[in-house]
Amino acid sequence: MMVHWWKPLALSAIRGVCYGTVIFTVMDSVGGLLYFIGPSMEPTVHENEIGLCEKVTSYQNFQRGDIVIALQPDEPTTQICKRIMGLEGEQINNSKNPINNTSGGKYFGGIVPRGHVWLEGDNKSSSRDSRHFGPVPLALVHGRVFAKIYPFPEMTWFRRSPKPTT
Amino acid sequence: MVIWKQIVLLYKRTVNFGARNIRKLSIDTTAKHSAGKWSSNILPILTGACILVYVDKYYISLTLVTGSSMQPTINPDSTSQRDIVMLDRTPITTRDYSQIQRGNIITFRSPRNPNDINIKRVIGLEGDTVRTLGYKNKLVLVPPGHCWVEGDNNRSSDDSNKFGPISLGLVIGLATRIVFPLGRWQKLERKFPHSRVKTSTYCDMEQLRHLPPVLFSEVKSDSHD
Repeated sequence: MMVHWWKPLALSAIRGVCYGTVIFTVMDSVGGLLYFIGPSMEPTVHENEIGLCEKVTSYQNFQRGDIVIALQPDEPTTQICKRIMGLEGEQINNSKNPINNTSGGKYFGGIVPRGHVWLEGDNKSSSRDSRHFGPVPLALVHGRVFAKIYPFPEMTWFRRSPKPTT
Repeated sequence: MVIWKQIVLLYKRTVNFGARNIRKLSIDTTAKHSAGKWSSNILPILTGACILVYVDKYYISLTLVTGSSMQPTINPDSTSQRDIVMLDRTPITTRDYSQIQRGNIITFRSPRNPNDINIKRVIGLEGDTVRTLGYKNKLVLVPPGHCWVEGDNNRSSDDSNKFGPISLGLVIGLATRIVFPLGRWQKLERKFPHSRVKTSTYCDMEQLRHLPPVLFSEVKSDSHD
């Protein structure tokens, strides 16, 4: 029987834990796996699908059309997934016509204040978004959804349109 | 005869040269081996750094406070050393926002600019009615999921009196202590402006009665709602 047969195992285990710590810290600040619930982003994303988000984008690099995950302003323990429909300073034009605003929100638009964004779900009739709780402070936005990976036949990248040069 | 000698000499030299090279190679490999050992010493350092990053992000963080909006509690003297404050991140990482109580000092990302981090005191929570100082409305009912924050120094404070109630999701830390300069090591106590806040019906006003008032911030008024 070898003397100290457990030493290589112990050393490998410690090395494995160290690698795990480093990888975890990097992945934790870079992105994450998402599990979608609710119908508010249909048909882009359905319920019980899995996507990937990245947390690398800095606040000034978010664009209109990005699908983002954010904390719900009136319920900070809930994460919501919506699309950015307006950045600060932009005019949101939502008609006061109830047909267009079928979910019954009381915010109809206007100019998005400084440091805020206007979020809306793709499924306009059943999405609780900025039309209900108003413009969202950009600091509540935590990441951008850049791909959907499950179900496999519907794997897509969510591409960004080229940044408009204004 | 001389040529033979020279050939033999040349042969000996080549062999020695080759031998020296082989020795050099073996020295190189041993040097590389110990260099490999050095590069594997990077891993503990990297792991230590990652653990510090994790603790800072999820448990406890230290932050330098600039500005005078929390005088005299923090940075009482604008000209001298600025305070370093210890933040508790567990209310945010455990999503237990009930730990953020009226009178606590919190750090949050400004609703006006997500790159700015401010430090203020929580005056009101959701459902409270706050009598404001300089806001567009004299009385504000704090909406669900939001809080009303104010700096202790009302003269120079960019707080809810300017940008209204803020969402609790913006909060990134709860300030518990001043840790530097060492002479100012102290626990940051809860303070509450009793005369300006009417709490929601779910909170017992009696629980807040023991809290000391916030200086300069109470309202001397005869009429109370």
